[in-house]
Amino acid sequence: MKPKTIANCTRSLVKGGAKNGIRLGARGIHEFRTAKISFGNSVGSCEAVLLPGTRVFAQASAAIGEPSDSRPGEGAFTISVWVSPAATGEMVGSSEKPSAIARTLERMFKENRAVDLESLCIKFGELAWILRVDVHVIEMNGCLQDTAALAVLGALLTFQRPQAEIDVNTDELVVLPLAECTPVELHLFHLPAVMSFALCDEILLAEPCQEEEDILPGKLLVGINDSKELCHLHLTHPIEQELLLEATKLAQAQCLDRLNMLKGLVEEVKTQREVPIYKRPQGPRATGTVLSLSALETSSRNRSEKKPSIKYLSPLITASDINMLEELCIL
Amino acid sequence: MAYRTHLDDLWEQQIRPDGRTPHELRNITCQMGIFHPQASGSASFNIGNTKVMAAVYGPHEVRSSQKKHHNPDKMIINCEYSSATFSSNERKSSTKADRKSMEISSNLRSVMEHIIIPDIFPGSQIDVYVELLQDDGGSYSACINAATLALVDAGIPIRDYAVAITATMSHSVCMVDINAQERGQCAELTIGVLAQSNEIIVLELANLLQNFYLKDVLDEGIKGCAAIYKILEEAVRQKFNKMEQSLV
Repeated sequence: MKPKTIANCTRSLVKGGAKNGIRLGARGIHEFRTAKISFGNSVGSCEAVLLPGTRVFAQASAAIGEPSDSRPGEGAFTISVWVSPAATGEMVGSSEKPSAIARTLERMFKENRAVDLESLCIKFGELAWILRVDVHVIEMNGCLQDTAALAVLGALLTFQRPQAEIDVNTDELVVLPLAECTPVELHLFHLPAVMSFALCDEILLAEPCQEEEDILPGKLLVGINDSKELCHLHLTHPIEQELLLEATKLAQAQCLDRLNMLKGLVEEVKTQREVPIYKRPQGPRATGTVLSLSALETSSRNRSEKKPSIKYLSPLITASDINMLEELCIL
Repeated sequence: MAYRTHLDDLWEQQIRPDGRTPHELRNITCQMGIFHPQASGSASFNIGNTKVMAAVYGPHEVRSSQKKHHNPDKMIINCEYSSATFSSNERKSSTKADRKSMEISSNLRSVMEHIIIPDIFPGSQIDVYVELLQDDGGSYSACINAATLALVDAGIPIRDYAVAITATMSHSVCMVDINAQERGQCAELTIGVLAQSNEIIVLELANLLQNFYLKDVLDEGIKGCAAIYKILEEAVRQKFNKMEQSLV
């Protein structure tokens, strides 16, 4: 695919504006974009929007499978990225864009051990949860990595999985349905976020839009987590040291803001869910899926198909349900 | 519960596990023209046990497969990184198509695009192939150094040398040139600079590094890059002195 042609006057407008501290969209040069995060009804789904016009959807899911030979005591974690052709107007299935996003996410969440994979182990060397995050880029206007990282983090923070354990007496795998156990949340060691900058002759532009990204020569990605540690750095253009340090300072402040916002939203979602603490009655187990290990493959496939939403399972009636019922009665 | 080992005793004297001081580089050897005369330019760069080879082919005519999308006023720079199946502890089956290699290839290309004088050979193509033979820490920085040397060997006009090194901060001491053993315990920041202007051109981070320490680690890395640059320049001068003498 040929790169999009950009008019010379647009080029000089963006470049000249940057030199005078003026940007398209009337933002200041160090002003970050507004983030909006919303969560879906099912567990572990999150949509992040960076205004104007970048929208990424992430869904976390887990299935039971075999851990890798090199890490028998850990679950697995995979991230796959899909960029919708409708967002870009070109075929991007095999191009560099999705793989660049996936690499950034992998570096931040996988290689820096953001997710506690050891807690996903069920039976050493044989059974573990395979965690998977699917990232869909729906709308694209620059800053893909920033938005995708936010969406993935939101998905991981709101994800819940059912309890699974090996029955000590029979050596069988028991998976309790979400309705009769307290769902388990993922344990994250740290919360990473990434901020991007466009570089143009000693000027930093925070979180550029697509046009700025295409026109300005350089790009800098700074990933910082909630304890002010750098977790990702990427650079495509020569930069002075002072400018780099300034960028990390800006990114740090913004990352903390954004992560605090996300944490607040996640807390809200969790309280809305009203998940009961389930206590199993004494005596032999009456319900629950008891599986022999050989039957595992087929059963895990079935489970992922009919993964129900948390709303459907919640035995307590929430305030929103009552509102809905009232509305229905009025109608 | 952490046990005290002889390494802790050494560290009290600021001696690293392999016996170096914090600011010491590993043993560096580099050689140019290792694929002479098939390749236009080639070089090997060894730092400690990390071994990298690079070959440059071109400038030559643009391959027909890429001709369609090619702007005839521009030059194509093509970079390909691969690592040998036996390069690290775990034997790998595929080494070229995985995401990690693709990322390194595209990063290398962006570095090469910045140091090669743009559009000096319009309508032609330069191929840079980099092969990692053994990985003992700092492989990406070694790749950059090897590729720069190979470009010089091929006689392609470049603006500046791109030199790179790894650095970190551990126990509040800056260290340069991390080996694989140390990489497991601390962050690894790969820093690449343009040797003359001291501008940073490569930044890659593995593991977590306190933002607060970044300045010190950068300073340490830039110092290390200056040392590498001296070694590379020395190698280039030696090689071309020899050529001069053989001509006389």
